Amino acid sequence: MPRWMNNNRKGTDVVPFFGEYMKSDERAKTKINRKDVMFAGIVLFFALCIWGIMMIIQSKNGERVLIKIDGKIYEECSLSENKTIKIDNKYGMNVIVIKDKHVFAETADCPDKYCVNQGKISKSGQMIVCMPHKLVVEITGSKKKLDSVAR
Amino acid sequence: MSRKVAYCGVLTALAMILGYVEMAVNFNFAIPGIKLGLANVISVIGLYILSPGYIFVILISRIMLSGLLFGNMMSITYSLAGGLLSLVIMVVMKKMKIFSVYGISMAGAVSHNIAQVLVASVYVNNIHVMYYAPVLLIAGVVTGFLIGIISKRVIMFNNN
Repeated sequence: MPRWMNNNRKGTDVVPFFGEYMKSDERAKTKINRKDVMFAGIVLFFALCIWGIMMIIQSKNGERVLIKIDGKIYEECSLSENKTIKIDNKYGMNVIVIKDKHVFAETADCPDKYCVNQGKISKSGQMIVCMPHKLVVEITGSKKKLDSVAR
Repeated sequence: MSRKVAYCGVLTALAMILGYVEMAVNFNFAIPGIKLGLANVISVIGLYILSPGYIFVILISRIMLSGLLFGNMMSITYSLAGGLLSLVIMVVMKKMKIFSVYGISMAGAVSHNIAQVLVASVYVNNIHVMYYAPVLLIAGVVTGFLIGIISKRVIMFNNN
């Protein structure tokens, strides 16, 4: 077995290929400890709480589709109509398709294609984001509900 | 001194290569926009073998170089925000001396993700982008743990 594959490095006779082996008290610091687990737990708990709240908000079927570019509303339409919206401006080109109460990005001329990979959305509160084109496609409830969700 | 400068050069080159490998191989986590952040290994290792000033130099030169070579202005701002915040958080946590390399790298990954989602929501001018935050927090914990495993294996050989 080569030296670097040896996991049992307790003896000082094992000399690693890169410098000396760390002293034992320093090594103890690199073992996972209770504080690390607590940190991970707190972050996960926090994230799951927000996620739970989001799931409640997103459980309703959406009604309106809002397309925003750089924070301004570019187009607003109903989710129940079938429509293909082509966006072509100085930031780039996207094709947004609304079909069978679902919205998805069909094509885009950005290199990473994250907006296409985000798939279909249909619930209120869900969104498709295209970073390089400053484009956000949001689904909202009906207009009255919009305020209660946004506030 | 010269030894530390040599370390800086080696680590910068390594960070750039790791970033490139990640771009080429594409470790996908089923959710778009989430990646392992292999280049973060270098920052974590740097914390243990160099002083914070050197790591900032490594981080900034790595981001500028790979941004100019493979990316554009947007990707530079984007990774600079994430990288700087995560480095500040990691340096502070290292100074606190209560977290191991796993905790430090998890905090780094989580803060990196938070900074990026903040920059994203400012860039597209839409606060609702923050809806991605919980997914990114969970992803940060997972990828941070994986990066911690790798970093630990390397730090074990540190002789400083």
